[in-house]
Amino acid sequence: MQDYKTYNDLEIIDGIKRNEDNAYKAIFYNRTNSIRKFILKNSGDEEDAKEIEQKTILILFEKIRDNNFELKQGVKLSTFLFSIAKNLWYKDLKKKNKSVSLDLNPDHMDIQLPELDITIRDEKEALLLNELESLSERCRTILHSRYFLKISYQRIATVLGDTTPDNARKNKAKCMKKLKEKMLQKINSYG
Amino acid sequence: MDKATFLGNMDKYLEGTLSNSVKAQFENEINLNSELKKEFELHKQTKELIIKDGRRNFLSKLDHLKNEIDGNNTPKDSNKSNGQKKFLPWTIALASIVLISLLVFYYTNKDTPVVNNVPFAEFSKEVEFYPSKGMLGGTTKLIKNLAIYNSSESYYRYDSTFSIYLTAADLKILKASFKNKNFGAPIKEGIETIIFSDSEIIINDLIHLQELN
Repeated sequence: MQDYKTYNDLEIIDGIKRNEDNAYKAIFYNRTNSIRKFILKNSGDEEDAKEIEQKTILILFEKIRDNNFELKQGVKLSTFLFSIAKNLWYKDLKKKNKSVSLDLNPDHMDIQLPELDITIRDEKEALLLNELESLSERCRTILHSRYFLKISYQRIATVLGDTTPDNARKNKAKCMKKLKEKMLQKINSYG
Repeated sequence: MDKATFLGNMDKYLEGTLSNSVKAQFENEINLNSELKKEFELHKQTKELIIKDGRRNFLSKLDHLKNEIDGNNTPKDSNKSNGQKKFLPWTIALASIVLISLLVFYYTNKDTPVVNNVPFAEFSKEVEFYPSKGMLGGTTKLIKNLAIYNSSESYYRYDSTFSIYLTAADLKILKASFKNKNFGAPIKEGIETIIFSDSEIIINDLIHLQELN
């Protein structure tokens, strides 16, 4: 397997399409340094930098997954990532009502930031997530593959050894039904 | 639209891939049929939960990969000309110290753990608000109590455990929670893993509580 240290931008993007670990390692290796420096220079600490780096890569992944990403000619991937990170940090500072210096103004690259809902809102949601974890590993994999990774039934069937895409589809429906029943039970008991 | 068709169209509606006419029909069903509306709301909520769980797992994976990178990019021993990885003596020594410390603390404190002279039960009650509001890292296990290992004020609880990875967002919440409760902080730089069992949680060698006074 190719060493991640030698990946060029296009190889990273192809790697992300296949959700390969080495693609993400290549980003961490030498394409996030400017993000870290920027956050530390603008009222952030190491934890903020780490969080923004991670969220930036998550956004890149989701854009590539949704076929909503194209690296324009002459633009480096690191520049694109930096623009996302800068915008994310700008939003964070605004939320915290912190004053924003001029050089923190968000970039005007054509980047739309999605709402990244990752925080567990309350105890009820925590309990519901518990129900998801209580599913079999196979069911969780099918549901994540379909709804988060957005993998085709064809590929799910190949990865999980289901005989046909149609079988994978039926298995997903069964897992979803099971999870919804568990959730409904929990929602009703929670009141 | 019959129920089977409606159920089959829920994902397509959420993904925005229904034709305009079917979409209008679908919305009409939701407005007129409260049973189907409930079914749809549950489906939507379930799907959002799966996506959130997927995102949190993804962030945990990134954290793990970043740690691997950081580990691999530390300066190498110049004598290793054959490229083989070797354990350095200091890593073995460090691992031994950590292991021995853990065992010593376990056997000396497992019955009556104390946190800054606060009995464990009282302490865990104080911090219960945090885990009950959410969960940590790539797990979805609800955490009931929290105990913290502190190198100077020896205490902690230990049980059959396993490790999970924390996301940077988790760390911020954790840190903020401790600040709010005046339990001090800061969380030590390089915090990586958290070890817990069903009823207890151990942040092992990760958090340095400051004395309250």
